[in-house]
Amino acid sequence: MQKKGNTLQNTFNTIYTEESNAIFRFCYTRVSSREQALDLTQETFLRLWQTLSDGKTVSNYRAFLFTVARHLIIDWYRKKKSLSLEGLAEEDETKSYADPSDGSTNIDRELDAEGRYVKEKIQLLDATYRDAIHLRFVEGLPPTVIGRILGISTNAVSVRINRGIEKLRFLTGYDIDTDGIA
Amino acid sequence: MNDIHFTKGIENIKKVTMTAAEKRRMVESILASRPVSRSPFSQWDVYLWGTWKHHYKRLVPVGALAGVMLLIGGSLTYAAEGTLPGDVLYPFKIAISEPVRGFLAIGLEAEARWHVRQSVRRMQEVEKLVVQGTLDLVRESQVKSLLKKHAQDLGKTLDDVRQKFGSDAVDSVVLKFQAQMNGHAKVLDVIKSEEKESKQSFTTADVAEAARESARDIQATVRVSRTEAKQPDLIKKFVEQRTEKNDHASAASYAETVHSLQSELRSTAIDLNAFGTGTEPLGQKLIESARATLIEAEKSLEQATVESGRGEKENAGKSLFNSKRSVLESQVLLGEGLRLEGTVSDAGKGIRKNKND
Repeated sequence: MQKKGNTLQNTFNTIYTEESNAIFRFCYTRVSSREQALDLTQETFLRLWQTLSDGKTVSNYRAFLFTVARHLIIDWYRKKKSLSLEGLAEEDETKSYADPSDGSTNIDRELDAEGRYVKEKIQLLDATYRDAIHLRFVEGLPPTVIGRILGISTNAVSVRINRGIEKLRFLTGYDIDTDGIA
Repeated sequence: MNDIHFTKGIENIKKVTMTAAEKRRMVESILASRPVSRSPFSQWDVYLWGTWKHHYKRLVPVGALAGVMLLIGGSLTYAAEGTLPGDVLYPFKIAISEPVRGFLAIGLEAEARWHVRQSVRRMQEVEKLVVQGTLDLVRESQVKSLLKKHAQDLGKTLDDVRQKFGSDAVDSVVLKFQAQMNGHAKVLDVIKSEEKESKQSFTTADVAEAARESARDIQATVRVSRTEAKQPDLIKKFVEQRTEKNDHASAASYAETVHSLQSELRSTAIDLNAFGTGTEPLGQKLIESARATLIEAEKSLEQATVESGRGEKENAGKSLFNSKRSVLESQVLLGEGLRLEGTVSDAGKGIRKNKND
């Protein structure tokens, strides 16, 4: 029993080491507040730990973590905005995740001018393209994994990335390569 | 090739990470947490409890209102069940109570039986009205139109039954329906003759005949719905059985049908002897009529046997069908006789009163 527990913990530690920064970054660019991003990251990994403790198998840890984090961010905004239940889904899809700082450390203070500029332009994208662009360019995830996270097909992911890039080109004025991953 | 500024910006975003201390504190906190134990309640339990907890202030009045409406609906249904045409709650019975019961009849055959039952209910209502002496032109017209509607509904349903289950399934319903309608028409005849004896004058000249006409209309409707089988399938089946190459098997099947009919005749005769000792004249007359109809059934059966012996297959089949129908009619008359004995005791005092006069 002890051995099984140790194996579980080792598995979790490995995943945590590999993915914690990416999840934190994903949350931080959405909620802007470092403290809030840390809370969301912890909650995300806590869900993974509980899932593993229940003896459930997770076929793709990365997809699992990003999916949970994405839902937690949406939930966080639901609570924060205190919107009526009926208007939430629509609200989540149309409004930007960008949130003014509540006094804690803001991500903009940690980025240089170029980083802040790109991050702001990505934030201006529609929700439809924003996550796909972030996951593709910042985290370097393949379309198959992005598809699992967003709950759409790989083809749909490619379409979103391409259209997102077009809009990002327009917003930034940069020449962004469709296939090129920074 | 991406723009250098874009690449730099992305690389800068990638540098946003947790500090080592943050990472350590977080992992320690996660691993120290006890795995959430499985809740004994399902997600639905939690959801329903949560909904109740948050909305009970609204749910209580809504639930109370629903309860009151159910109570009112149930009470109305119960109160309307025994109403007759012209009563205040009769429209509720026709427009709501009966359609709901029809909706609950699952399956085409059950639906057809329900339409038969509706027609029988209308006839029974007419009988009660006649006995009470309250059948007027308006009520008569209302019942007639309802009888027509029920017959049309039955015709449509029987068409569907035939397409799905074949003619055999239709035959049993049609036989029962015709027997019921003929039986109730005879009941009205008996009531009418009783009324003549008592010299009571009804508001309409011949209500019994009008009701009988409605019954005939229903039969006509059913006959129209049976255009593809002009003769009753029971007869056709019997004829087909007799013309089969295997005469032995056909004879055995015929004998079985006759045996079954004889059993029904015997059991109906026993019932007549057991229950036909009422004190009310109307009930007695109905039971006498039932006896007479049973004798007709016996005669038809005897005739069928003779015709079968002569080789007159089609005639034998018709006689067998008539015998079967007469048995059912006799059962209807007996049932109504017993029922009206009770009705007369309560509602038919008008007749007795006139008699005494």
